[in-house]
Amino acid sequence: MSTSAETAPHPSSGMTSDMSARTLALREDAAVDRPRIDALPGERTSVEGRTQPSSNAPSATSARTLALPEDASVDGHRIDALLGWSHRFEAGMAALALGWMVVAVWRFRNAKRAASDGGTKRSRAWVFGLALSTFLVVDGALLVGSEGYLRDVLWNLQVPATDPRTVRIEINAHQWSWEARYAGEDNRFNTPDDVVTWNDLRVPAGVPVWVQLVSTDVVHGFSLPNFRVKLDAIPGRVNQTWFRAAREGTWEVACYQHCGTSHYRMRGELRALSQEAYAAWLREAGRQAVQAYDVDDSAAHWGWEWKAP
Amino acid sequence: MSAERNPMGGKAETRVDPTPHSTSGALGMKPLPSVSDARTEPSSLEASTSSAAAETANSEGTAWLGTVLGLAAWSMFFASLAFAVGWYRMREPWPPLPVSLLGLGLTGLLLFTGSGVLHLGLQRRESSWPARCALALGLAFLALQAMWTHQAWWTEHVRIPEGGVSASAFHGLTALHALHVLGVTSGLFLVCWRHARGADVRPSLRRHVLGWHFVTAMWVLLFVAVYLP
Amino acid sequence: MSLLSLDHKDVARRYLWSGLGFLLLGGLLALAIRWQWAWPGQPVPGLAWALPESRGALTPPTYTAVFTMHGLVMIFFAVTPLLFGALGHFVLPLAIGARGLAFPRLSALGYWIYALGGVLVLASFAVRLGPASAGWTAYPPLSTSAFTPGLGQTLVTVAVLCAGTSAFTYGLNFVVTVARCRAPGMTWGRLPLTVWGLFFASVLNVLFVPVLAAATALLLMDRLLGTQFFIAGAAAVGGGGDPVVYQHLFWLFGHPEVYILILPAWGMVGDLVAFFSRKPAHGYRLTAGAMGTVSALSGLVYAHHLFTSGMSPLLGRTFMVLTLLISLPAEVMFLNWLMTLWRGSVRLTSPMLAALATMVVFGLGGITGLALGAVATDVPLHGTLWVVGHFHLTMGAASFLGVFAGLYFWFPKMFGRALHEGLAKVHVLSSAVLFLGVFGGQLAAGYAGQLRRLYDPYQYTYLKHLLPLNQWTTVCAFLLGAVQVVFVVNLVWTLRRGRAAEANPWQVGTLEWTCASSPPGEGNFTQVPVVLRGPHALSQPEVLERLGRDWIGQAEVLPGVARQDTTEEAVPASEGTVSTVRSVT
Repeated sequence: MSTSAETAPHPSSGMTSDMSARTLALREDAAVDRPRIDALPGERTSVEGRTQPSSNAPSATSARTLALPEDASVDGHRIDALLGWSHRFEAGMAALALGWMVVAVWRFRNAKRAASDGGTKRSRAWVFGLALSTFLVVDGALLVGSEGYLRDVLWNLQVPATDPRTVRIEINAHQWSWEARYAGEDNRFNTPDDVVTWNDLRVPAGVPVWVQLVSTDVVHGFSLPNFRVKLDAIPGRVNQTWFRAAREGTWEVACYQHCGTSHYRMRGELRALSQEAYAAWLREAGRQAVQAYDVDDSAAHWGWEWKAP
Repeated sequence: MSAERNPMGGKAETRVDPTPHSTSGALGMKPLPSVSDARTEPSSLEASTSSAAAETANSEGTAWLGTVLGLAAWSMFFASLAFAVGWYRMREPWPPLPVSLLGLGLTGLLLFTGSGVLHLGLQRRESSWPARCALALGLAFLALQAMWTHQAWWTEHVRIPEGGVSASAFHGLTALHALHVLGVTSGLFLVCWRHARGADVRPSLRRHVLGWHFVTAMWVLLFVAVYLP
Repeated sequence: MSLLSLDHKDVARRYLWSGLGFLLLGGLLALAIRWQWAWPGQPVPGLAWALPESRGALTPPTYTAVFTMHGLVMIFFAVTPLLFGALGHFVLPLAIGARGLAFPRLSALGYWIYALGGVLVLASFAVRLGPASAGWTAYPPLSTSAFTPGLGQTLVTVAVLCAGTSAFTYGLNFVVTVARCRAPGMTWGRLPLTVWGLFFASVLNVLFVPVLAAATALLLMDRLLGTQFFIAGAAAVGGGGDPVVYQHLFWLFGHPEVYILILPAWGMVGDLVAFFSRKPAHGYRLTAGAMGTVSALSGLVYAHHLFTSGMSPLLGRTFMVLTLLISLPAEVMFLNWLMTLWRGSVRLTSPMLAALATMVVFGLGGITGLALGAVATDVPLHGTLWVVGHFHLTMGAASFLGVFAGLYFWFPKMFGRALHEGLAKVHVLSSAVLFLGVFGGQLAAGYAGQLRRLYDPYQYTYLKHLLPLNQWTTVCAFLLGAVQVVFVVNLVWTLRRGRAAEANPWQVGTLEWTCASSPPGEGNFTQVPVVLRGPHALSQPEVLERLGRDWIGQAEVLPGVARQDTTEEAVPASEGTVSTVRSVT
């Protein structure tokens, strides 16, 4: 982004034509060795061309090796907290098991006499009881915590379905890019005013974003590491998920399923804008889309009736 | 010795199959003859011929068990294929086959006939006609299946890849099953061949009959999963 | 050694050399991957001859082939053949007092089918467009000819089918051998735990390899004949099929496969920990039952690999519960191992060190898998190096160390010569530490979000800071590769001029050590032993008293003791466990 993306075209200048988006993607790929994103948080310029309120403020954590990627979503902290708890349990289990082993080896190494029994009824019951209680505590915590998240967030598509502000995006994964389609003013997909972007998702912050996902060719994996989102893009079926951006900023879209030679370059960007900026961008992009609409370009005409949850 | 001292020592009486090894006991193979064990105690000095016969019976039993377990496990292959087809059927309506169901069913009846013939044949010792008969039935089955797929392909235009997944399932699974029938039929052919040269083929025939029953059962699975509308 | 011999020990040696060869190949491929993550696009030292156009640097297509072949070679051609083909073939008949496998010709045939697969794998490196490159899972549509047109992909798919067929044959052979060919007195309750592990894993082999065969057969038809089973999207004709069917079939095999790769190692650890603590295994029946429970559950948890595939919430919840459930028997087994150490007399021989190292890496691998079993915590970790680190600890490092535990333990029996104990200990300890370094580094990188199979992870800004970590991990990996030289030196030196092994160097009572010569001759035993007791009769007071040693052979009569004493003993507790095991299998 050192040059291309950060001084990226003003909304008025484009993202409507596939070609310009494609070149943009290519130029981004060329800029591989740009400096780390968190190294210059203040210098980042937003798509509106002004300096952005440092979107990656907690960049110190995101650069820490032993930490999850920075969480930029409204609900992701629940997963992070659950993982944190689970790691505490796991560390405890590891310490117990390894400590026990080390103590046993140290204490009983070359001992003069060894016990002659294969365990008493009581010791076996103790083993089973210890295993069962560890299992109940550790796995139980994981199960309950996970279930809560699934019920409230991951599989609760009622939230985006009932929220009037929800942004709906249809994503078509290709070898090797993310093609996103916004319904435009008429709220219907596969119409002339649809906004189509390549490797460039824009969403308003704080609002549910409801994604429906397909693939044209092979299995891809749509992931937003900073939003705790992962979903397979599988040809022949529509998968869906949703998330909420907690704040404005720019993050990355990554492919996590091996999808061929250039899998590693299947990188997109996700910009969370203020709701006003997002609305302005969508309006302008939709206007341009109507102008640029080509009836004969059948490859550009895809999209499906929005699927109910 | 108390139980706690050696938990590994189960009761000798809990042996699952006491028969196979009593013969080795009879052969005097025990390392320590002073041990008295009622079960492995040689009851008498059996003639070595009878122990050899017992050895043979034992190894035949082992081979039979291996065949049964192997075939039973291999049915997972067809179960997986049926799972795949079941998945496609649940996903979208399954187009009915333009090939006569009755014809396909009657073709399968050949396999059932073969099963019956072989089953009867096992009870008669000397004759090899059941095996020959089954051989003919197997070849007829293969020929008829080939005819149906030929008809589907050329007359009814059930083709790969144009016909989509249902045509793929019809041709692909029919072929996979036919390969198994071909395998069993070739095995039967070898049995007949060896019989014609005067070898004792009854144990081998028994195992091939199992194979035949297996392909018959798998044909039912094929019929239900793929051929039925 | 005749190449046509049907003797199980010769077949085992054939598998051993082939397996070690493929282990070397898979390991070198792994080092190439590691190099790429540490110094992306830089020429790999010593690879210029193979990749002259890039002067030894991996290109993206080469890289995809390298990681694909690393996985396939390691799983199907190195670790499984070493655990089952080499150790299983060698030990199983000896340990149950059989004169051989139930079907000797089948076992020899199985080897040659495996060898054919191996030849196909090697040949695939020479064909145009290189070997398979669709990942070891070979998900369609990527693995179909529209997206991977090379002949190599087809060759390798056939090779996997060959390896599967061979696994099916020896699985069946082992099951029938254990069921039918045990020596008199060798009850199910007296089987060494190694045999239990091999037996359960063999049951899994015969049940689930056919599933792989079905998936692979359909995939091959899609590649070669144009069928539409797994093709969808733009490449589909006539409506197309569904790639998800392949994923389900593949993982229905794939998850039991990871238990297939670890169950024999579990069994060996159970035995070795008892042997070298000089006391009976704690809760023998509980351990065997736990292994059986894991085996029974292993086919019911597979869909946790598909948590992000858009599966229905009902399925997702079911598989989450089942997956978490499988940790209970694993914990029981692990605690039993620890309890076996306790109040024992621990001897840190090289097999024991390898067994303890297996416990450590397996324990860490199992613990790091917990978070992957719950849907919510799986989401941030799915498809990252966390998963890679987790399963490499369990079925990579633990299986590898299990193989070496077994190899160091049975080597004197296999070749009649004793390996150098010091070199063996150095090899085991350094390997274990470096394994922890390599896969611990991968866990850390994965936790920070590094995705698998990226040619250049640093395309992503959020991964850029992981470069130093990956370089450290790579250094560990290269050191790990280097310390394997210790093993090779030890092996070559011992085979050439190693000292003759003692009859029972580890002083244990199992049949292979007490009733057969080293190496065992044709037919294994001069007389088929009559088994009197379990495999871990160590430190028994009356044996100490009468024989003056802390071990007694499984078929050895204690002087002055009537036979009844040994046959009538029984374990009062947990009778139900073994019967469950039986009904399960």
